[in-house]
Amino acid sequence: MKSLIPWQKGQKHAAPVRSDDWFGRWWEDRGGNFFPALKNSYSNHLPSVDVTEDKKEVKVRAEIPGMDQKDIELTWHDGILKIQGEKKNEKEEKSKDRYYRECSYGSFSREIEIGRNVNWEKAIAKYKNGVLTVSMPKTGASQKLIDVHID
Amino acid sequence: MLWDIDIFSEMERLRREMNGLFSNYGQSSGSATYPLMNVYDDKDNIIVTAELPGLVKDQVEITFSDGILTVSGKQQPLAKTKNMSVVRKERPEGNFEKTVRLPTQIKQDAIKASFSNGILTINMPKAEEVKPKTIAIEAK
Repeated sequence: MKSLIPWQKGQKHAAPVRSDDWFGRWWEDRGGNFFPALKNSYSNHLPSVDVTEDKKEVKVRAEIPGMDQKDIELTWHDGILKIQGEKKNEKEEKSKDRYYRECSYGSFSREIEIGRNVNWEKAIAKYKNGVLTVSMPKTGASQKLIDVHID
Repeated sequence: MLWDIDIFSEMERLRREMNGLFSNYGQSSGSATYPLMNVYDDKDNIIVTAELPGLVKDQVEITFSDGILTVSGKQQPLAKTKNMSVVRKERPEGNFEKTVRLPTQIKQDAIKASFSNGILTINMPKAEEVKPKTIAIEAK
């Protein structure tokens, strides 16, 4: 199983400038994570997920605090689980004087590649304490080991 | 070419400086990024909300002392079952602590907290002396 979130390169030391496009190289070396401090605390529109797998099922746990269950939408397409919804901030509408805000609001969407070896029709989703848990039973076929013949 | 190596290091220095600025933003301490918090001021109360998905009220401790609010606790590690493999691990685990200095005086005995859907809400009534008051104008 793979995931679709952006892949981040490890921090590199300044490499000798060889290319003419030195700015592009410099930018790319940071893997798009230009200001890590800003990214860590203020760009969390994507819910954080844990994905675990055992013989029976694949389980996804996503952190989406403060939602109504009905506002979370789950879709399945070709081995990819999509979690989307809109996070509203009711307090902000009531309170005129806002001091300080770290939490992000608005629509979010995240795609997680699970693969085709699960039975999506039998998946179970639960939302509790701000965490969405999606359990997807594996289909029988994936449990068999395939013999590989070496000539 | 020598000139673009100089620009390179200068830009790198600038990037580091700006990153440092962003990491100090918000004036909170502890593990500054977790949990994420909002602070509201609604005339009579200061309201602090914190996102703590997956936690229940017994796993969170709130203390208030000398104008400083501290929220601490422990995120439980993933429950391991037999033959389970972790494919992706992004959610934090372990101890956390975050402090917020409140911008005004608080009626300490009247602080109330609630926890719903992973959001902790702490309601702190302002002390009487700092609440805004309307001053009547006397007619002469």
